[in-house]
Amino acid sequence: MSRHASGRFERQENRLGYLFAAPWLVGFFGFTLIPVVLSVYYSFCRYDVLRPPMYIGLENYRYLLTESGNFWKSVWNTFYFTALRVPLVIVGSLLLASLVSKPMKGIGIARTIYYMPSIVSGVALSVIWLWMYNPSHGLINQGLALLGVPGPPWLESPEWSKEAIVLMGIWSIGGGRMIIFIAGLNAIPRHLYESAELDGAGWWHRLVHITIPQLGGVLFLLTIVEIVTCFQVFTEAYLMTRGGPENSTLFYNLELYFKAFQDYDMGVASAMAWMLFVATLAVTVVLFQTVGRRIHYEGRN
Amino acid sequence: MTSSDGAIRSVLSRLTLGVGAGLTLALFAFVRPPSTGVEGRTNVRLWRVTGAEAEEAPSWEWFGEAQDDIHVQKIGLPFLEIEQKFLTAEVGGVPPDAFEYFGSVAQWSTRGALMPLDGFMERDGFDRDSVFPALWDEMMWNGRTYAIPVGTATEAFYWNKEHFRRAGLDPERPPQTWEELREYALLLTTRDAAGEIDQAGYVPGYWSPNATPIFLNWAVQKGAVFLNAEGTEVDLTSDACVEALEWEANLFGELGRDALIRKRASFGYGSQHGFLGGRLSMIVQKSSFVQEIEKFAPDMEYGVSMIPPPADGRPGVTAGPAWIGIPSGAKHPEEAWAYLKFVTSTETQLRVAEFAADRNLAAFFPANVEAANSPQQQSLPHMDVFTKSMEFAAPSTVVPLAHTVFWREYGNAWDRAMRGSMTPRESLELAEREVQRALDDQIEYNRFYAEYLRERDAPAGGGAR
Amino acid sequence: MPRAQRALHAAAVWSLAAVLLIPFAWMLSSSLKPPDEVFADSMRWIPTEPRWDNYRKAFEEMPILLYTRNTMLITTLCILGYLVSGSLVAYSFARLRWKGRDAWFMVLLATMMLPPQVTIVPLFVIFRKLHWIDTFMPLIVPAWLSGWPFFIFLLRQFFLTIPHELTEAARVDGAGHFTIYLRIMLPLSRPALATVAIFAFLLHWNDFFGPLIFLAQESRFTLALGLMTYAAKHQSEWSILMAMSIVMLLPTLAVFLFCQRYFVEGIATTGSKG
Repeated sequence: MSRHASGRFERQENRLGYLFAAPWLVGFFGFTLIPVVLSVYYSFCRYDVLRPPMYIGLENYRYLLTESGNFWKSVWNTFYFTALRVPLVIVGSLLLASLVSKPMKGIGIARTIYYMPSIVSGVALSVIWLWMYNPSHGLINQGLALLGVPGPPWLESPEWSKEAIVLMGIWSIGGGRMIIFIAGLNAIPRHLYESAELDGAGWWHRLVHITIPQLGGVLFLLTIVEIVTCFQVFTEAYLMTRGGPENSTLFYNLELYFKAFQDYDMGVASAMAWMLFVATLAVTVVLFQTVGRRIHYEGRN
Repeated sequence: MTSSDGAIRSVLSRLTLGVGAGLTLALFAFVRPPSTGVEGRTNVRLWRVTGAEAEEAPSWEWFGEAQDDIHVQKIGLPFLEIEQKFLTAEVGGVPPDAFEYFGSVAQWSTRGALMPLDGFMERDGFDRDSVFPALWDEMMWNGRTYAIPVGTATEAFYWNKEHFRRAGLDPERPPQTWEELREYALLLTTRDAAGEIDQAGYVPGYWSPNATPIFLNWAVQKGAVFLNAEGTEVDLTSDACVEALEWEANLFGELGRDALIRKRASFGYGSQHGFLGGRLSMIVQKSSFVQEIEKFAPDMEYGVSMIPPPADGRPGVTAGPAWIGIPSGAKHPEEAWAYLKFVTSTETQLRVAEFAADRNLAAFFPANVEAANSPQQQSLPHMDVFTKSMEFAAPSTVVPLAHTVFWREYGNAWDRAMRGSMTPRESLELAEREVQRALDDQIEYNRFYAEYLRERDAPAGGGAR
Repeated sequence: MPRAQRALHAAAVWSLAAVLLIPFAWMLSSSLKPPDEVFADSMRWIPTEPRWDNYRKAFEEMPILLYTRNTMLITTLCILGYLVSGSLVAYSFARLRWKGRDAWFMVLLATMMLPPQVTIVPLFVIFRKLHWIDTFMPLIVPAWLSGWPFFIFLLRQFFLTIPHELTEAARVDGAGHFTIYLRIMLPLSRPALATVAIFAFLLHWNDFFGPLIFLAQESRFTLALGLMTYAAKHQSEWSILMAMSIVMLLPTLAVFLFCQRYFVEGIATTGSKG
């Protein structure tokens, strides 16, 4: 092939590449990059969409970090929620996965049932669980009463509201995460377990020394996904509690929504969005730098 | 998987696919958005709040009968969503033609989301005096009128006579002061062996599950003024405010905070509402609550009185006007104005009163002076109490420019004080800071906007204004 | 495994399944009760007399068919959008050599990390300029412009597994890239495309935030938004609310039961290759 022809060929493929990627490139510029730039600008403004933006420098950030009680409350709530939910979801879905990872009669049906709650939408989920958590007529407290345990008022009490949303989250997401773990579990070579059993290792030993290290990558990735999901929790709190009682379920994104679409303070909301992005990025990078490295190392061994 | 399994499966999935596709096609073929208009008439879209309970006088239908050119399409949205939806529609350039709402007019008028109506009013000789003069204040901004008051909702004190009788109280005599309210509350509260509340005498602040704290009423009775005359300084930490909240919080504690919260959490909506379900003896509720009692507890023996004031205070209650305005960018402002004129006219307002009288409803206190004093209106149940209340009414829109922030912070402050996580004073201080900040922001932003408008209009308008 | 252990295992599996099904059963049971029984006898699992009328009432009180139509319209157009644009873009990332391709791919991966909240306010402003507020456009157009980069990623990963020999043979026969994409890649990628379609279906059928922000008029509401609005108005009508939730759930359930395979494969792929 002559040099000239190959150059034309490359140019053509280059053009074609951009042409094929055009939908995403257009979308990226129009619906991601420009909004991101605008969002930075708005975060330095007072802006309610109806009137033109008014530049105020770092005021929104200063207000949020040093003055706003709701902001820090929402940070704390989100942090607490994340710290509570991530381990529970991970352990819970791993447990589900280990129950149904091995072949047995009707395993397909069991997996289907485990997975089914994941397809319930946020709105239906909230409506159903609002009814489940009804302090006097709800299934949960009625059930507890049968056992002779007085149930707490769940969503109506600041002490239990976050826990209630976490519990609901485990029901709803556990099965989805389980599928990933099943794939991971089935990818672990059998012989590792066989030789460990020959050495007389108990289930705990196998769990700690084979399963968890072998699952390392999946486990790590799911943890990150789960953390990011928790940082962005919105629908449940918006529909079930509107942030109450006593702001105990005022999560970060809910406060952001209230600021943007109730108080029409788009500037503060944009500033909040940016801080969320930075926090998400920071957590991810730190996790990759610390835990992530070790996992790759152990995985290779 | 056997091959027959696979065959069955593939037949099944094809079948579902077929059925799904068929249903989808049918949906698109046969389901259309409801026809919005009436042939030959201009369609005016009216947005208003609808709840589940109230029966309403259909003024829009009457308007349709009264003339041939305009059809008013009523669109009801729930209270919790309507403001956000209005913003969305307004920003999107697809606002309704008329917007009926309560709460702050200023938060829309200052943002240019409502049209000034003065031009229409002058042209058509709208009689401002037909409406209670006190209601106009909230409709104005910078000397212009942005909405017309339709009515007022106020609050009153309700008690269950049967409960009074059982507790040995005079069923015809409601508590006259805060102190008596406290005594009655303690007397009427019964508990089971485990200390759980059986029948609650009074639950401070309980309104309905999505609570509207009624603390403003107590503060008004103590003589609280929440905003200075210039509208620049918020005051939620006056002695009047703090004492009012302390009183409520103390009563809450005295009745048993945790038991009370558990009891309150067990109350629901409709027949599950505490008062309507006969599990609560006394409550402060809006004037239209009468209607809910008729609907959900028609056999209840109940009384209505003004909210008892403190011994050292004065009678007082908050009242908020409902209003109707025309959003900026409405497609048919002229036709919308025709409807506004119709619905606020003395004639229509009298008809609303008559409609209510026929059905024994007590929803609303008309903004129209003549209608309010009409025999029809006065024949409504307990209207004497509501009429009297209006004499002592203070506006419930306390900080018009930062209305949403105020309500949220005020609710938070109340909640914190009731649950005892902060003292009333600390809690109010926190709320005051947040509201003041929001107000300062709005004032600054308004100034900026005025400047912007001046600059924008200066070269083109040539000093027309 | 010894027999006893196996029995124990099965017992654990099925009792857990039963627990996870309880909310569904209770939802169904509540939806068939008269209003007073919902409260008075909430633990009675089988209603004294099933009230199918609740479902009729659900259809009467909320324009379910209209909302289903709206939701279906948005969902279908979005799925098509993701499939068409997503596969084109994925092809260019997997099979075409162009300047800056790898850098752009890094950008694509980075956008997957961006919380949607960052762009929601500016998007609101942009859509307003385009006069798209209170139309379905803000909910549909982004899908045609690959608004969910994860799907591109998923398809690209799949395209990479298709042997080069297959496409090279076609090239020798003089087929252009578009022909290869259309005639070879797409037919071979059916499982991946199905996975994308199903995820997109769930994503948009259940979407709440988008419609909440961008739609204003009730006649344009989706099922999720309609259910939420109804719940806000009628907070104590639990039997009707449960009936509505079930109606909303049924299509997802049908799709799920018949396309399980792709669900499971799709999720497993995201985990092990992500």
